[in-house]
Amino acid sequence: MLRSLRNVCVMLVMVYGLTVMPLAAQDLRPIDVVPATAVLYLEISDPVAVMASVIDHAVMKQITGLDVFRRATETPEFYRAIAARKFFELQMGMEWRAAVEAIGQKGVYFAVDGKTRGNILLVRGRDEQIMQDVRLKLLELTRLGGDQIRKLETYRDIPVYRLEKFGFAVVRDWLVVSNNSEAGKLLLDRLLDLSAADGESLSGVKSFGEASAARSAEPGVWSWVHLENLRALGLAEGLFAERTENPLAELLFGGIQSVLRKAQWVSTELQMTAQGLNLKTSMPFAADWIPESRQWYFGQDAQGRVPAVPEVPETLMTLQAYRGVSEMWLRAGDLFDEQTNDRMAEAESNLGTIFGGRDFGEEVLGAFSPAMQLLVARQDFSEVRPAPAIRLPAFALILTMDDPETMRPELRRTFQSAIGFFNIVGAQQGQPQLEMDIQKSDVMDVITSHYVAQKKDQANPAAPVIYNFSPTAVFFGDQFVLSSSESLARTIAEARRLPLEDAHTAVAVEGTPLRAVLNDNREQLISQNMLQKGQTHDEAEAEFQVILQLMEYLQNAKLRLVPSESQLTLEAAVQLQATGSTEDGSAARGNSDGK
Amino acid sequence: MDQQRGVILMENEIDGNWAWSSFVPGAEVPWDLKAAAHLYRRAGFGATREMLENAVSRDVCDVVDELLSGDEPESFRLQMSRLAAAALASGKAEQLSAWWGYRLLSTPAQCLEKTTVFWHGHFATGADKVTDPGLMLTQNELLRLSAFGDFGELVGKISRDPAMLVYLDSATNRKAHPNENFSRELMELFCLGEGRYSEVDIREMARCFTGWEVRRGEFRFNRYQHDTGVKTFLGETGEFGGEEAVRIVLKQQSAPEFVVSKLLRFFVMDELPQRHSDLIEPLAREFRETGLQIRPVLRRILTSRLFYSRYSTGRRIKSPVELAIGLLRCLEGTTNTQELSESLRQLGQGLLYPPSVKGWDGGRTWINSSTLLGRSNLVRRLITNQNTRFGKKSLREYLSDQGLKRPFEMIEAFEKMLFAVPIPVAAKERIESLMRPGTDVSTNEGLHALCTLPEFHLC
Repeated sequence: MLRSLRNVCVMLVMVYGLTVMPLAAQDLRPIDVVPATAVLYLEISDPVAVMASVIDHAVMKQITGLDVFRRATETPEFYRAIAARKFFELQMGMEWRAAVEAIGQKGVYFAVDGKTRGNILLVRGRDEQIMQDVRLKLLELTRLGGDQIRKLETYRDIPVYRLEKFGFAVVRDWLVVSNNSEAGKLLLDRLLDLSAADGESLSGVKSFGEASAARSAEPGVWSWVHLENLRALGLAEGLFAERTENPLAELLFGGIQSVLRKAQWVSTELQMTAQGLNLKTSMPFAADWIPESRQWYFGQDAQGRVPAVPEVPETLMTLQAYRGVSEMWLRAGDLFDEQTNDRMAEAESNLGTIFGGRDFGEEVLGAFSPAMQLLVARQDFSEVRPAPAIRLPAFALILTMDDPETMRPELRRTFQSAIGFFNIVGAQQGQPQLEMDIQKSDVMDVITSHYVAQKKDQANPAAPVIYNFSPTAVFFGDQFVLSSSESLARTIAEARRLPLEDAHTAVAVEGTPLRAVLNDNREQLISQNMLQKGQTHDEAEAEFQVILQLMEYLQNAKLRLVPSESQLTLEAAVQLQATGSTEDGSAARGNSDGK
Repeated sequence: MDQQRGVILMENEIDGNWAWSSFVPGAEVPWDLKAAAHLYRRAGFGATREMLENAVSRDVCDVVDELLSGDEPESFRLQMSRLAAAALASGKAEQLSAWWGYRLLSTPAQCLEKTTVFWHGHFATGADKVTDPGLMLTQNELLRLSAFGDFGELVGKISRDPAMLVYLDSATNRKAHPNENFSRELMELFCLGEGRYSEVDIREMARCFTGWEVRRGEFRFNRYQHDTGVKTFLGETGEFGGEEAVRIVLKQQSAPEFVVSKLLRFFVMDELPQRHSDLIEPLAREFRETGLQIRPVLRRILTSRLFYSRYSTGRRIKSPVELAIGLLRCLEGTTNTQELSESLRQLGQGLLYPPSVKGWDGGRTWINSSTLLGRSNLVRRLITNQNTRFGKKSLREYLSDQGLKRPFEMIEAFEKMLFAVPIPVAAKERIESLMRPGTDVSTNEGLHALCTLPEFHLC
């Protein structure tokens, strides 16, 4: 009886061993295998879904269905790529997509180990059999490609193949590729027996846990960079420099650079959805990480936020930002090198002349609130003569005055001086002159200027580029608008404001007006193409049409920088739209999900 | 034999009556692919194999008449105007230069375009000084419109052309200080040549053009600044204005001789025989008798016995424009004309950028150790430029479509289309050995190697 019981127990243990051991191997996560010393980790946990989100996307299907796309693929290069694909399918004995899905079904992972400086690629296939097939095909392809296996080794009974730049091995359903033997062995040890392996893995790194806790459940590409480790190893020193030494780079990224110097990690998530493409980059953040010299970037306690955008028809781009430019200008000595400071001093002297002797940094820039915006909108020349041949969009800078009563007359005089200056320079070059006009009402002051059309240009529908401009300044309330066109300035002054965004910096590009601007300059762009590529008009027009058709799919693109109490997030989104596009570029739009 | 080696030998004298008698194809000089290629190279820039074969099947006079018709389809002219307007919109003369390069490559009326290039060198005006590209385009259109027409009318119009007046500092010309530049160039460079006038003639004639001004890009006659007094020059006296001054200059015996000799140097031979008055005289007489009409003179030249003789074939050195445009046109080539026009400028023949009011000297001045390397590099850039296509394909594919797959077949075809004189056998063998059939790189290298031969630079 006892013997029987023992036998049953032994059998149970054997069954457990046979079933549970493979399960344990299956449960092995890549982050258990990748060493804790990794400085970069990238993961595509569900490649099948990611591939489907791209290839099966409604927009992608429409693009590949276009005649222009088919024509574009009728090239020897494309035929060669098709031949290579066929060869791959023959080798794998299945259709390429099914093969790729089978090979990477359980994930594709890439890491860079800071300790060994080795690059690591892990691919987990559908099952062990498919990965063994891959191993054999890789060997065959390597031989056909002229690369010789330099060395065949056996490491813990696993065959390891070494080529000139990397080596690879297959362990169960894992393909391991690395350019560093030490890193490769480390991975093989962990894959073969995790419990006996040396050292910590990524799963035990605290900052990795923090970053991965915040990631979404949607399939996509996710990456993590261990900034702390990078800094400790002295890698990517440029990223962690104290100063940018470039005023424009400082203005755009200065604050972010300060955060990078302190943050432990940065993660990035990329997702393709039915609506488009989303990218989100996050890193830890604390307002007191920002040194005093860069307080101008995020504002007091990182509370700086963008202003409300006016709702202007045919807006193709808006840039909103919180930047204490005056403070940046005055702190130039702490932020830039001597040479840059000399140039800024020279610029300040010249600008001081234009601004009637006022201190540019303190009195001019300092007169405005740090919340500012730039708006770019399409211009309509259908009823306007002369109409320029090159039709540029109009742009406007919108600022808030801290002390409108003092600044309004100052800025008015400055604007008038600038117009006078343009007229003197223009007269020397035989250019048309600007004529000014001032209109005042209870709600706004508008100072406009227009180029007086020369006789030959008066009815010209293809006049010089200068006729794009009618520089205008508008004052209303505490707002100051400096615009390249009167029409845009007036529209902004009268426009309804859109709801405030919780962002420190925001950029938005709208697809429809962008396409319209391209179309406005159709002949110009086609002509440019003809001269650059030697094409005929028809060929250049067809190429332009392709661009226009591809642009049909862009609904908008947005970028936002949002600081919170503990995190700094940069979000980018490209919204696509499926269309009922026709060959002539017209489109009947609908939702990409077909609703 | 010397001619075969591409060495130019000049005869002391050529009989004018023989020279200008009509070309009659015969055993000695047949109307064949070689002769047709010569005609297209000189009257235009070059022709494809198909065009040459078509030309040979017709009468030589018919082919010349077709070339001299200057017919461009309305759709082409409209397209070129649009392209020019787009180039002007950029405000850059370089873009206009690229536009002209595009026009040279694509026009169906290549003789008209070649003659426009001739007049551009004759009435040289540079965009580096005339900063308004619109004025350069206006002049360019005037030259094209009058290229085959009445020379007298052309001189009259060029005298009022704003670009020319700006270029010769005559935008303001007051009676108190007459500007002598234009009157000097009118006689020396445009109509009579050196030594056919005196300094007094220049000073007196300059008074005729006082009050001729340019305002806001347009010609204006300021009657208050015009010298209405009596002037005496070139043997005539009167209260002449600018129009009369042009008329008096064109009446001079030397005017047709001067223009005809320039036409001969451009279309027939770089260097005229030492004693060339007998050669020039019959043609100058015909020019005068037809009222200085350009087309009849060109027809006489292009259908003459001299034109197809050994005194003409291979007796010119290709200008950079002829070299580049010719290479591309013969092989149905298209390319980035912005880069092409920049390369031509570097080689000294920028379209719209002549070196001085004298235009281009041409002939042997095109060749020196530096330009020879530059010409080779230009050919390489043209062939390997990613935007260069031959009949919309790679060179190898283009030749393959014409049944030219083996290196020696390609070399034979290139020789017929691109070379005025035979390629030495040793050179052919050497280049053939360098070419591997079936590869783009090898075909391009083969063509480039051929284009570096001295023979290729002869026209």
